[in-house]
Amino acid sequence: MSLDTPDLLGPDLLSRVSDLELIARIVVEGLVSGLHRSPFHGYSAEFSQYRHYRPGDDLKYVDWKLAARTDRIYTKQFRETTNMASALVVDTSASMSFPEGDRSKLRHAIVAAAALAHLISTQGDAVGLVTAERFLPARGGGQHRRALLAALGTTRTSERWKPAELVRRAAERLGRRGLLLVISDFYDDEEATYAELKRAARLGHELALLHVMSRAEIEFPYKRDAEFLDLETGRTLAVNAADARRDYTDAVAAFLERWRTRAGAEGFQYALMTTDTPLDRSLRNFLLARR
Amino acid sequence: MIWLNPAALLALVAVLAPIAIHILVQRQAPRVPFPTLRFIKPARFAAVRRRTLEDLVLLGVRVALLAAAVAAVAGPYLITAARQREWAARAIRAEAGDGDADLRVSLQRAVAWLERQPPGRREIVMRSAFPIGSIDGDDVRRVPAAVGLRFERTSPPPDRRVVGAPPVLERTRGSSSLRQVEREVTLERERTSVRDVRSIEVPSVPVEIVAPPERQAAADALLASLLAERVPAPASGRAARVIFSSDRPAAEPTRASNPRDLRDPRDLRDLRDPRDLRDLRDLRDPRDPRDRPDLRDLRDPRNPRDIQTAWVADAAARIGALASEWRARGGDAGVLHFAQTDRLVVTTSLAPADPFARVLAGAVFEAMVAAPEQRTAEIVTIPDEQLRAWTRGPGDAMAPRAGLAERDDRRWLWGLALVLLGVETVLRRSRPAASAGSLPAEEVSRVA
Repeated sequence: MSLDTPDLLGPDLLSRVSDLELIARIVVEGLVSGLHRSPFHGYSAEFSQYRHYRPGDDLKYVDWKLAARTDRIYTKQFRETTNMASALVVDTSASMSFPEGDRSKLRHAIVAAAALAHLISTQGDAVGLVTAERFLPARGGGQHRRALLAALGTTRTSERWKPAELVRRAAERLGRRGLLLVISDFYDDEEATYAELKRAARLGHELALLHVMSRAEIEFPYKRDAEFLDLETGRTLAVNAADARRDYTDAVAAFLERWRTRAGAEGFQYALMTTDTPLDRSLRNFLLARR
Repeated sequence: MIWLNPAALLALVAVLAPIAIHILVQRQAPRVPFPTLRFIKPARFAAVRRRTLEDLVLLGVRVALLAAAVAAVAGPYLITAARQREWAARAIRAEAGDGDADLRVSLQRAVAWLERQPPGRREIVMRSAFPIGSIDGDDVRRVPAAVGLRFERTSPPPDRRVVGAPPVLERTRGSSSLRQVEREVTLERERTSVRDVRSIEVPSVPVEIVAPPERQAAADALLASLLAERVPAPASGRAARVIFSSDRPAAEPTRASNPRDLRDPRDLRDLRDPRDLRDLRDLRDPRDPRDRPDLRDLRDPRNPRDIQTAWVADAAARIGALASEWRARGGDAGVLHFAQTDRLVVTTSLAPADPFARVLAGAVFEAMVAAPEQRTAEIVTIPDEQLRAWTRGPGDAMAPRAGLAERDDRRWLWGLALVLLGVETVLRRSRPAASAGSLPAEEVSRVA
């Protein structure tokens, strides 16, 4: 599978994702009525569901009767059919280059982003790309899709990766309410990034977090004395890996759980993608969760 | 403490092996690129330090294990007071006599036998009549000082003893017959006498003196003058030929058919070595044409006459030494070559009338004599005062050498080595497994 061609994702992968009828859950407003049902929860006359009230929600959509019965404030959501603008934010920090080789997190993120872009674009929706080095505004059409895939194909790690700033930029550039897909390991500027994600949600965007991790990062399978080199800072740390494993795995589990909890609390869609899991399976799970 | 096998201590360099391995392993701690160190607690630095200390303990145990094993092989032997008392209480005695061998040889055998004995106070008891010459001060000095010496004189020799003496050849003046005179020697305390017992006529002279025609007369005169004064009769089966060459070859030092100069008495001993006999075949460019057939025979290694005999080597050595002595005193000994055919062949560059020619011819006769066995003939004994002066008590017991100790202390070190081996095994197994086999494929490559 090559990133240098529009056929990057390949028909096999895309067909399998299409089999799950995920198209209707990605597109907000379809150009052809009846063909797509967008999972984008807008504000139309067709009631969709309740969700917890978030600051900034229009009070006219608060269901006061329900609040009276439950002492909790819910906002009514309505389904509408419209075109969706989405932005793919791909983490290009140095930590994404782990593990080395073709199975790095960055490569996994690029392929996932390309697949999602292909899906979104082929359904006629607008998709954009935000990395440390590139910014492609959300647009539709095959030419733009090819340009986006080409940009993904040349994406490399960069020291200029500032997640909070890029999330804010992507959210602001989306213009109207759209879908912000952030593919990252979320190591950098955790609090600032979380704040910007919340801010993007307040702007009305739907957020989906694809947390990319390698199995070695989660399980820490090293057993010898080793000198670990921080890929981002260049700092080294000599430890006995076997002795350090328990604390490390506990800390990583807490880190992942923290992001999962935060995403749940804010209504973000969250998915953990490990590099040893086939990408189609990860995407299928991700898209099914959006149903 | 002594070491019964001290050469094994050289193996102590083996302790460098674990040290080198530990150093190399320490340096091979892999550097693993990792996305972030934020979840690795810096406190784990302490773990590395503790591991280092554990490794040092393990290294120490391994070094001690190797050192104990090497020391065990080297054979430690503790010289304790109890052992010294035990050795002092043990007397090891060797007896030497002149029954079946020379007393001097028996003494050397006794010393060698004592060297092989376990620790103890050592003593040699010598039993003999101690005739003069049977042993001397040099023999006594060669005995280790820690070995005691005691002399017990057996039955004294008789006051008078008659032994056979080597026969002589003589040709009385005015007579052409050659006679061999048998003689006997009478040994008495104050007097030694030789007398002729009988004489028998012999057909020919066993020593042939040949020369070029113009010198043959002088050569014959030389032989006649020797026989007129009695010369030792050669032993049966021994013959010689003295060749006076016609011209003088290039001046060379006297050689006994090999490159070594016989002026050094040590060379004489070497010549008596039967392994040097082959050198005696070399007869370089004899001037006497009558000897040439013999030369050809000599150079054929398949000729059975080339088989050398000890008396020829001995004779060549003695004559060569005589020539060297002659030359050392300023005389002209010419150039000598020796060879063996069916007899001793001596060629000289001198003329028969030369002063050394007579000395040479006489030496050839003497060299052919078979020395009689006179080891037991002497009746004069070493004085009792001298024997008492040589007498000494056994010294302190000597420490044992390798293989002579009844029991050494190796077992303690082997036991220590086994204990250390167990400790090393426990320490090694208590370390976390260092196998990378369970790592994912990409991690294995990275860690490796």
